Amino acid sequence: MEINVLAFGQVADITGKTSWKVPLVKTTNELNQQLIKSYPQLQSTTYLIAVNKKIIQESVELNTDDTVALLPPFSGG
Amino acid sequence: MIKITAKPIDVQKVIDTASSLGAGAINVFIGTVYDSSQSKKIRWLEYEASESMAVAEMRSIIDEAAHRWKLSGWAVSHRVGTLKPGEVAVAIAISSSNRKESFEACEFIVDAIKTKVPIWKKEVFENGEERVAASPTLAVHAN
Repeated sequence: MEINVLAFGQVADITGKTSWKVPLVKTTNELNQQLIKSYPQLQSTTYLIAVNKKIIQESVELNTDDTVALLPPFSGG
Repeated sequence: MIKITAKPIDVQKVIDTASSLGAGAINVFIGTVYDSSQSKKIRWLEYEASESMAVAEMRSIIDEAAHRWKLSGWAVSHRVGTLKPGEVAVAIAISSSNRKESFEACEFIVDAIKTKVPIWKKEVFENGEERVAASPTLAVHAN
């Protein structure tokens, strides 16, 4: 029972990796708290969270094998 | 055509894809890599994308543009990877029956790509590197 985490841009600079698995937790809020505990510097940056490629506005429930992406401010073009 | 590519962008192909015999105008935007930022010399830019999300978001931007303006054809190609100054980072071609629509739609798409599409760039200078945050207002502290 795991979920996949993807990190991009400056978030990946902080986590030091772009893709990893973590044990399933109930919600994105819970996952985010765990991530902040593991990587305190995340608190000093901003990012959106997408679950299975959809950006979420508030905490949602997570299921096994979900993919959660951490998306810092975009800078394409 | 909507493409995220690690290979150099073939601008002519982007234009050809968007062209339409029924159109009286093709508007092309080519975004290139600049050679300095904050008075520092840039060695290269590193672009990365959440590819499937980026393609889906660009598709929704094009849909929105097609809803607002009458488009005859369109094509968008955005590069990822390491790009040196002068290289093409993004090419957008929009064809329409009249030029005003093609200008407006193209500008709308460029602006939206910069703020809504999950693509990131890092500036690599001769002494260090820095992330570029083009749209800080759109990201919020996740909670």
